Amino acid sequence: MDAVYRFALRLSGSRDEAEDLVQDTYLRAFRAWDQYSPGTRCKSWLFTICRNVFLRRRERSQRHDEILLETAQDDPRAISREAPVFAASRDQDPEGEFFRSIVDDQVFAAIEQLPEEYRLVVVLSDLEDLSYGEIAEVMEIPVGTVKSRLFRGRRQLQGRLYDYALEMGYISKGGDD
Amino acid sequence: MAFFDSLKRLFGGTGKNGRSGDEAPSGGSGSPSDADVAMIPCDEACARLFEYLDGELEGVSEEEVRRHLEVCKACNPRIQFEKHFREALQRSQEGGRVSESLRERVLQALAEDEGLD
Repeated sequence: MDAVYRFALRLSGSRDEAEDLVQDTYLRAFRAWDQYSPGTRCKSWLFTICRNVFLRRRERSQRHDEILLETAQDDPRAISREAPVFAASRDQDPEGEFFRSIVDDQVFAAIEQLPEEYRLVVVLSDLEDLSYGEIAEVMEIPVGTVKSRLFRGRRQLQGRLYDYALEMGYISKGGDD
Repeated sequence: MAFFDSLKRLFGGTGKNGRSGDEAPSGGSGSPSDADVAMIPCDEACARLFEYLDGELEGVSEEEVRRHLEVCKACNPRIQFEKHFREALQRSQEGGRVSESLRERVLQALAEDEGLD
C-alpha cells in the first residue's frame, strides 16, 4: 500500500487527497479483482487504477490540466545526448558525488516541481522500478514517449539538483576553486 | 471470492525488475581481456546509458554496453554519475509510508464493501 500511497501523493501533491485516492483505488481494485490478469504486476495494475481515479476526480472538479501529448516518434536519441549537468560538473566531480550531499527533502521537492508528464514517469521508473512497458500501460502512452519523458525528466531533475548544490556550496562552478 | 486472498495480493509487495545497473559495472573476474572485446563506440554506449541502467536494452547486447562502460575511462564516470543521481532519488522515497490510520480506513472500507454484496 505504501507504493500506491507514494504514487497518489506524487499525482495529487496533497496528503489528504492521496489518502482518498488510496482508499478509492483499493475499493475499485477489490471490485474489479476478476479483471486482474495473472502475470501483470499487481503494483502496476494498482497504479493504473490509481491514475484513472485521479483523472476522473480531476475532471469532475474542473481542474483538468491539459496533459502534454507527445508523439510516438519522439525518439529520445534525437534529443541531444549531452548531459548538461554531467558536462558542467565533470572537472571537479565527474561521478556526481554532490548528489549524496543533497538532503532528501530537497530531492523530494525537486521531483514535485517537475512538470507532471515528466514527474510521473520518473517516479514510476526510478522510484517504483516499473519497466518501460508497465509505465506505458499505466500512463496510456507509447513506450517511445516513456523513454523521451524519462530522458527529459531526469535531465531537468539533475539540473535542479545541480543548481541547489551550487547554491548550498556542495559544488562550485567549473573553474572556481 | 476468496476475500483474504484478494486482500493479500492487493496489499502485498511485488518483486522489482532486475536492473542491470545494480550489478554493473563491477568487472567480473571471468571477463575477457580488453583486447578480446569488440568495443562499441562511446557515442553508442552513452546513448544507451539509460536503457542499460533501466534493464531495457534492445538491439545491442547488455554485455557490449557493460564492457564498454567498465573499460572506457571517459564513459565510466557517466554511469557512476547516473547511479549517484538515482540513489539520491531513491533515498528521498524512504519516508513515504502510509499511516496506520489510513491502512485501517482502507481495510474498513473494503470490509464494508464486501458486506454490501
